[in-house]
Amino acid sequence: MFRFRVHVLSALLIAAFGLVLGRLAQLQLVRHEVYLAARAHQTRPQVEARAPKRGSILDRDGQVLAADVPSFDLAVRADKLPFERVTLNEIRDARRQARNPDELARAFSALEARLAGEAWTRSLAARIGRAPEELAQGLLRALDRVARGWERATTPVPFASGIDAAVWNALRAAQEDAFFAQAAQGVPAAASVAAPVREETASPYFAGLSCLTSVRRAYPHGTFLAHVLGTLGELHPDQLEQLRARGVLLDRLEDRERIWSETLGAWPAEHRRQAAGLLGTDPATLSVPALLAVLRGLDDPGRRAARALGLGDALRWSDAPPRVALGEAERFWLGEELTQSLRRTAPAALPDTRIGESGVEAWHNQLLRGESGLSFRLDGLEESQRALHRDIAPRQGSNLRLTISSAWQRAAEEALASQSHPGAVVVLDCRSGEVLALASGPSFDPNLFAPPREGAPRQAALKALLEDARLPLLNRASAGQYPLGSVMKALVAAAALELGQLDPHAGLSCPGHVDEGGRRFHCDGRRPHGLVDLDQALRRSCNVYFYRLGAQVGAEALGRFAYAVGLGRRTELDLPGEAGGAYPDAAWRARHLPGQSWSRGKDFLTAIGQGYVSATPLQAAALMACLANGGRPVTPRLWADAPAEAPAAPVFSARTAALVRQGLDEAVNVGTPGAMGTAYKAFHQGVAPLPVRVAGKTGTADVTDEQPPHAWFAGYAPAHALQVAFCVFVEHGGHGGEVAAPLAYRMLRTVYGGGR
Amino acid sequence: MNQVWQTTTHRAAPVSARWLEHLVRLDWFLLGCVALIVALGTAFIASAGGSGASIGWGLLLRHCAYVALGLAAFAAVQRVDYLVLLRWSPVLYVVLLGLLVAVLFTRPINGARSWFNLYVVNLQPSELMKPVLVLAVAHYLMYRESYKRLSGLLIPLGLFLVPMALILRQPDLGTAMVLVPIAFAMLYAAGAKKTDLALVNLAGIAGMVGMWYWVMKPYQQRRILAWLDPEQYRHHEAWQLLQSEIAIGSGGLWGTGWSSAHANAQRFLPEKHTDFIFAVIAEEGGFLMAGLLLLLFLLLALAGLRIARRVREPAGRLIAVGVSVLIAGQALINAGVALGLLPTTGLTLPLVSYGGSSLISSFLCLGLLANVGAKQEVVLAGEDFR
Ligand SMILES: [Zn+2]
Repeated sequence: MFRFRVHVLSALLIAAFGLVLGRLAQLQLVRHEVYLAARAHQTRPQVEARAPKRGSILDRDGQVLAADVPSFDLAVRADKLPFERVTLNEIRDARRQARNPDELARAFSALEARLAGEAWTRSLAARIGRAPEELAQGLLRALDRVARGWERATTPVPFASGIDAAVWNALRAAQEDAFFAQAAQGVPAAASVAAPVREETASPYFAGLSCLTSVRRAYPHGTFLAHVLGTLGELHPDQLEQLRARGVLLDRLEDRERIWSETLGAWPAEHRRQAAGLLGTDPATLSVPALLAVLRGLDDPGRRAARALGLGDALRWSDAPPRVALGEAERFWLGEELTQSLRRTAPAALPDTRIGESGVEAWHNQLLRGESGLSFRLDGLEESQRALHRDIAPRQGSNLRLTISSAWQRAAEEALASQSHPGAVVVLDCRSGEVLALASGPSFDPNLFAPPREGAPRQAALKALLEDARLPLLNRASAGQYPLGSVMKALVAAAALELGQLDPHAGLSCPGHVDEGGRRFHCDGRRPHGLVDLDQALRRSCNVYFYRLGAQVGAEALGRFAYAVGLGRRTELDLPGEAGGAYPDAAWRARHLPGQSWSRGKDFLTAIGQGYVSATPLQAAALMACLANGGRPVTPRLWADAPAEAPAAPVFSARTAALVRQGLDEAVNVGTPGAMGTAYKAFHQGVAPLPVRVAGKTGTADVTDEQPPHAWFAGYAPAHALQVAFCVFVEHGGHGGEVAAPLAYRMLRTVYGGGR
Repeated sequence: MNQVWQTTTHRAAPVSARWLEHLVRLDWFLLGCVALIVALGTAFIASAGGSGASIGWGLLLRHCAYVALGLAAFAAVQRVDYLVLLRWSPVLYVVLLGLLVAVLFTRPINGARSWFNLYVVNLQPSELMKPVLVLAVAHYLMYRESYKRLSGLLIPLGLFLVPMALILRQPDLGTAMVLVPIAFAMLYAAGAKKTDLALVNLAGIAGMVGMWYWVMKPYQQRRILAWLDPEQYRHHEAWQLLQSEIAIGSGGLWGTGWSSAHANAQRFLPEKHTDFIFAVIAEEGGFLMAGLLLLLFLLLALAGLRIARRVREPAGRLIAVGVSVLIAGQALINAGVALGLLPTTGLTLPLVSYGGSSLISSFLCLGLLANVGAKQEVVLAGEDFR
């Protein structure tokens, strides 16, 4: 019996060994090829991304407005942390178990609190003078990256940035002392590293801690030009994941085309028809490559038309040269399969996760950022094969030179700051459209936004900014739209002249009001102006004159001119968030006021820039630039090195422009008692005369009965040499001639100097 | 009946002659298997210990030293009558239980309290427990028949369960688990009822389920989950499993060659010279070498069981069964882990993996087996364990 049972055991063992041998044969003989491929896949090169240097932002004279400065980050090897395993597993569990983002956030904040309570964190925080909560926040983000497999546990991952060099040096010295003290006590170094025990955390030795040099974005002039420069943020890990899912991290042309085609797919049919008409193709076959090819071939007027259609993004994409070097290298090295897998692990290949969030930092992000380089290292290579290693150097970010003139910008910001209302100032070169100044008040300090944003004081400051009722983050100069007021009259006059519907010398009697459709429309101040011709009407801002003129020209005809000079649409300034304003032509009414009838009275209001008309200060400045340069519309731009475009065809004849300019000149410079220009006082009474002659149009735009009107003053200077066009806007400031014009005077005096 | 068997002892013969006689009676087939396994293992330890194409001399030398120590232990066991050891086995068992308790109060190494740090060598009492446990159980079972009842199984099972529980506390799941097949094999061979063993088995499964919830650490649970779903855990727990499978699979029939710089295991497999040495052998030596190794283990076990059949002395029979199943079972579990058939347990490949305690323990077990096999006996009684 015993022998039989031993035989049974033998048989069982033979069966078990047979099973294992079978499995061995399955792996080694049947599925050999599969595993061979997997091993090739395993021969994963050490693909290390190398961050490009982000370009600086300069003003037109080369003065630095934003630049990367060196910064020290504390980094830690996750595998050396005493709480590594536990925390990584908890992070993974949290990610796996969370059913919605809220739960995940709760789990993470609980984890954060636990990390903040760890002796390691508290002791380190005390040594570098930071709050443990702040360190824990960074630490959790770093460990999260490790938990997701984006970083190895054996490489240092930064978790606290902006460490003072002196603090790091002191910390390192303490580290070394502690390490040697520990070694001297006879604790086997290998054992203590392999199995850090809790007692060690109380000592000043922080295993795995190191310091990495990195960069921080600095804006040396603080709030100066903040709205133009914008802010730099950091891609959140989840955003990175989304981007990775869409395959856009490696900045390749085909990726852009894919996103663009998604955009195109979401276009309204009407828009597609317009674009197809412009491009001379069939709307049904409007494919992305075809579109880009057509866009690349467009001449300047075509490009402008394309921009007006909202194809600006596509234009920029079509301009970008395709960068295929990376793809070729990958395929050469890794084969198709691994190329795909590299794409999947792309977040690790994005070493600089900073991204422009607003301002030119965002608009010109590609230019400033450059492109990441990659270095391929295949491990386990024989010496002779090392030549196969390959580096793709990062393409450094370019410096961005702006058209901004610091002298003008400073003058504009000083003028705005001299009063308490929010407002905006825009100064354009009236021939090229270059933006010399673009100021919005109140302003903010973009340094507050520069990553990393951890830390309670920073968070509090940001919260205060976001909750400020005066909206300091709003760029009123290009993103704020306000009723334009009497500045509109300059356009009405030019349109009527251009259409031949106005004799500039013909007089009209102003009784101070006009009745239309059972409603009385007043002149400013309700006083009769008497007999006024065009010059007088512009000089004294007679509403009645322009009510009649506006009604005569009609909203539709006026709209064509408005659109041509840049009202009612975006001016295509290279700054995100630009508002288009509104002009109530038929298309606009169909969209916003469907089924409502249009009346002559509404034509009246349109003609004096009230009612449905709204514009940004930038648009008002562009209107002045067009009149000042003899009738050519300008496209404002901030990038000084943008490829030059041929000047646009004139909208107004030189004669028209000259006639309107005469009126604008008188509005500032004629002080005849009883028929004084609306801005005369600001420039000539009780102030030193300017060395240049200024012309312009005031505007006082009523909003509600409770609040004071918006104050506008838009003009150009010097009136004879035509250099700059400007617009000063004060939100709820009051009368244009009394509030906005003095600010313009103040700014111009700063730039041109006090009188002689 | 059981009491009347007797062994012949040659008290008159000189020591050297007895030694020579013993040598002649040794199972040289068994020893040949052992020698081949050790030689094969040593060759691949040299490969695994190196980096790239170079040999890891330091590791190789230490491994050879452990092999030499193991051989010494083997020889030492031959000098003693195993019946003497059997008599002392309760004492040894208690001493080792004491060590297993004591080791729980040491500083953990790699997260487990399994080793006494003796500076020269880390002593692992759980490894030494294996031969002692086989002896102790054999000692208990040899004069009894109580285990043929279900209630009588309690004490022999207790002999296994107490050290198992202590080893689990370290925690060392692998070593604890390898005791299970020994327990079943020895009790089955001794003649416990199959239905009783099945009941015990069911209870064991219930116990495992309970352990999952109350005893296992989350990382241990994760290892098992990783084994069930490697993709989900690919970066961490399943890393070794995937790497091991890839290494083995890419070895093919012929292997990548000894100490190949391109071998997967060389670069990506942690613990390649201890728990995952089988993957190194399978990758570099291919199916031929890995298959040969498995075959050698099988032949070794069958030779051990042949001794069990040949010997008539009851304790020796059980010792032979226990040792054979121990060596074969551990080899099977180790290879099964490397092949992705079983969850990662952290168990060495006997006679092959680098590590002093494991090697010496294996040699002690084999020494017992050889000792049993070399015993000359005169059988007067009927067969035991009916
Ligand atoms: Zn009037």
